[in-house]
Amino acid sequence: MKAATRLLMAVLLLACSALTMALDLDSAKSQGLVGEQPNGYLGVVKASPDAVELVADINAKRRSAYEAIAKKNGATLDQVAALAGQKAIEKSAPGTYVKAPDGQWIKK
Amino acid sequence: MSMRSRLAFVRRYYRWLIVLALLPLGLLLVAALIAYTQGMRVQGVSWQNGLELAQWQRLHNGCVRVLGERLRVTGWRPLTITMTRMSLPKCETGAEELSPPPWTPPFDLSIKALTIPGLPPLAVVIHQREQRWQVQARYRRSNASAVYDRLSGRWTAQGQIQATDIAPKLLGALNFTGKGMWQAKRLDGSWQAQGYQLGYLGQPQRTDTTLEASLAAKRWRLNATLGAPLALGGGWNLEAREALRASGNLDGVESLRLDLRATGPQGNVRLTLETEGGGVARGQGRLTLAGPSLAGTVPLRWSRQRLELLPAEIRLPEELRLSWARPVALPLAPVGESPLSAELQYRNIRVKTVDSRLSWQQARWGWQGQLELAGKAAGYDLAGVWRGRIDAAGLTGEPASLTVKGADLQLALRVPVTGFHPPRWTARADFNGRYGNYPLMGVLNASFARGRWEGAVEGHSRLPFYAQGGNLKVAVPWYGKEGQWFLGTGSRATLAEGLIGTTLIKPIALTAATPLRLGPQGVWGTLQVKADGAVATRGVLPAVIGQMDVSGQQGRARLHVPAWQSELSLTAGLSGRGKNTGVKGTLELTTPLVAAMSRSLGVSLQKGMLNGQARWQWQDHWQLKGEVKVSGLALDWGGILAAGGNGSAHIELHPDGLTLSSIGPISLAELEVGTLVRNLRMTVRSDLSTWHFADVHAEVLGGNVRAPALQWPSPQYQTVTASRINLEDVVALENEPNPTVQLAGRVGGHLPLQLMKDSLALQGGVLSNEGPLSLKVLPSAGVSAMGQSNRAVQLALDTLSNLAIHDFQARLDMKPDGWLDAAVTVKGQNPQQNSLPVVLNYTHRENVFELLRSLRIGDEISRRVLERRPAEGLP
Repeated sequence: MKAATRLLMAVLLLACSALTMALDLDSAKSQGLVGEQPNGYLGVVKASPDAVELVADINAKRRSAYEAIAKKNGATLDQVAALAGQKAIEKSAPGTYVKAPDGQWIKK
Repeated sequence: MSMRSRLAFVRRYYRWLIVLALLPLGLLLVAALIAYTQGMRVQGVSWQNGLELAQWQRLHNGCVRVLGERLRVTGWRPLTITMTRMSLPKCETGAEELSPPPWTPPFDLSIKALTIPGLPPLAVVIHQREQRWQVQARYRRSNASAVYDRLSGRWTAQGQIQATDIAPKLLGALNFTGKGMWQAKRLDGSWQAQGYQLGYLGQPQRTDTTLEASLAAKRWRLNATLGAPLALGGGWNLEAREALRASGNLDGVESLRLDLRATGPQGNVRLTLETEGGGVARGQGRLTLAGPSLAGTVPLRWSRQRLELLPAEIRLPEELRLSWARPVALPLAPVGESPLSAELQYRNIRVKTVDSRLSWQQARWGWQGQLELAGKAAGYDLAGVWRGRIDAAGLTGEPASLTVKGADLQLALRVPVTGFHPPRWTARADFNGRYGNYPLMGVLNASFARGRWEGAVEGHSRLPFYAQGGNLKVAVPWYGKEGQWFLGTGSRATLAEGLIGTTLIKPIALTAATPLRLGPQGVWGTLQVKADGAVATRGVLPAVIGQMDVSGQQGRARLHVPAWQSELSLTAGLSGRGKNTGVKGTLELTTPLVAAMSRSLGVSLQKGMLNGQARWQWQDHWQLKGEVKVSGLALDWGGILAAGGNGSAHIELHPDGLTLSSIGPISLAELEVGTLVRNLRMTVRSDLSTWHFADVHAEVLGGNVRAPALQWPSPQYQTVTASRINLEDVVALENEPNPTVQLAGRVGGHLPLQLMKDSLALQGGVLSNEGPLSLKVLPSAGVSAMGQSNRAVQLALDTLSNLAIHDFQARLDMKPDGWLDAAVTVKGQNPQQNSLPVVLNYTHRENVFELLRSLRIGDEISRRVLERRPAEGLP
């Protein structure tokens, strides 16, 4: 019973932390601080220490995920990242920033 | 006398008895009254085993002539007095008559510290019996004694002065004797002095000197000779080219003749003075400066009471120039005053004073007026002003102000001078301004203590290239020692976290591990470096620690990145001068190649070692030339693995970008791209946008491929030659456990490739057999089913089931989208069918990219990526 309670608590804590991170990223996107790029990684639109730290952290996680997928599918990291970037730009919410092919930040 | 008779006596004479009793008191009051009228003032009168005065002084015409502390009368016959301190201040009363001392009762006087202007505090003992005065004075190892008989007026004196008591580094001694008469306001006498072994510590020269002086009928005469050059310290020597002769009266100098020459490392200074003629009491002379750091001539003119420096400009050490446009008069009288207008120039900085006042009173000099500073230094305009007074007591006046202005810097300094006085000179300067758009402010404290200047600077600013943050704080203790300036150990400059572009620079601290010596040629000392690293959007630089040794205008840093085990040695030094000023140095890097370095790269480093050496230079732009060597490299691009990479390259960084060229071949032991490529080697040249490969060679599929030169990207078709490709290895690519086709033999040919940035194309590729080939169609359920479906197919399969091929020709074309068109002609025989000749023409169309597993990404990947939780920031 105690073990089940502990597991439930751990799941709840994980969910809460995930929710917090998500809010941070969503908040940063909605504030126009960060945006998606064609290379599959987040970029900083308006630099602030918090935005840079957030982007660096998320990009490190993305790179790990891309690398795992690339290895499993015999693709290169950049191929996976570029494909993911294309999809991320397509999925970006209206009003958030995305990087155009010419390198300029534009509002979707 | 009985008690009754005593009472009767008192009743009869009580008035006289009262008068008798009050007489001493009255006498004491009279004495006090007389002393008061003579200017005596006392404080703190008490009786402790004798009369004691805490303080006393004697006034004359409103000036304190004598001042004493803790006077004690310890005996009355003879009068015995001890005194802790006694001073004889100078009063501005002009020349005074030299009156002998007045009559006094016999006395003994002991003064622990007698202060006379121009002399150190002396311990003095005076005995007087029958109007014969005996005086002994002592200061450290120097002593003097004198006897004066007031009744006859005769006096004698002798003594010895040790040079080290005048200044610690002077050597030798001066013995003197004197005798004469002193009566009725007239002092006559003669003095002889002999200096022995005079010199300066650390300089070998020693010399003797003689001095004779006389005073008679208020006229004086002086003769002095110097046997050999006298060491003055700092490498300077003073030489008397002829004896000094001077004479005059109590009003001033009447004749003067001297020729002195001082020689030192900076040059030599010669002073000559002559008298114009007998009885005129004036003359002229010249002060001449010459040498590596000295130049100029100052015409001199002297009269009875003053020496005039006529207009001149002289060059002094440290590029200083001093000039004055109007004569400067220096009084030769005990008291005087002169206007002074002069200008001191250091490079492009001028300090001038106009109509200030130079005053002189006995040994005390004073200056009063205004100093104005103007000029340019290090490209900045300087302006300042100070009004006040300088004398032996220090500085008094308004706070000095200084402004520094330039294109990017504006700074105002305000320096109160109220603390500029001995013995502890103190100053606090507030500076306030801006550098570009950023504030610059702080405080500089200075004080003179323990024989040296010391203080601290505290300031803060922001570095201009930081978009946010980057606040700079400086806390520096400083001091001067033996003519040099130091920043103390622990001096610290800290740079707070801030943003440069989209890179977050973590805090950086520089701390002095040793005192930093400052000099015209730069800074000397050791600094500790601690940088907490940097965060970029695609990567992180971990903390960097290290040490930096600076030596003048050069420095050497040894930096360490513990998280990566990287070592970086960096040297830097100033190069060029003026507009061509730059920095150059060397760089050495040794680091293992670890996965953590890969965050910003498209590849993942697994292992390896990188060593690099380079020379770098910055002068308007960066330049770097050097070599890097990589060994044992293993990395992957995701699904493509590489291992055993070794090679060296020459790299150059210049304004147009970066170029690299391999030194000899670079090699890769293994490259896994779906099939294993071995022993890949080539030479490389690139500017990072175009890559030139030469002498490319690799072993693949049991054979090899070669290309004399390849360029990527390039629209040209460049031929790659394949040979000895083993068809068994080609079949094995299918990785099928039960293959239906068995091939054997080797093929080769030419494959013209177009290597574009994101695509690969093949045009007119030809492969042919290199020796006999064999083809076998192995029995299987699938093959049987195909044969049973059609008789013609069965015949074809039977024919091909075992084919000995003597001629194989394949023509290959591939579009950039991956579609390959192959036209194959096979000629052979079937040994199982009586060597039946077989000719097979076969065309095939296939998308190679889809065939290659390494390129099979698509919907599955998209789905997996998109299904990741937003919490991980994955798209």
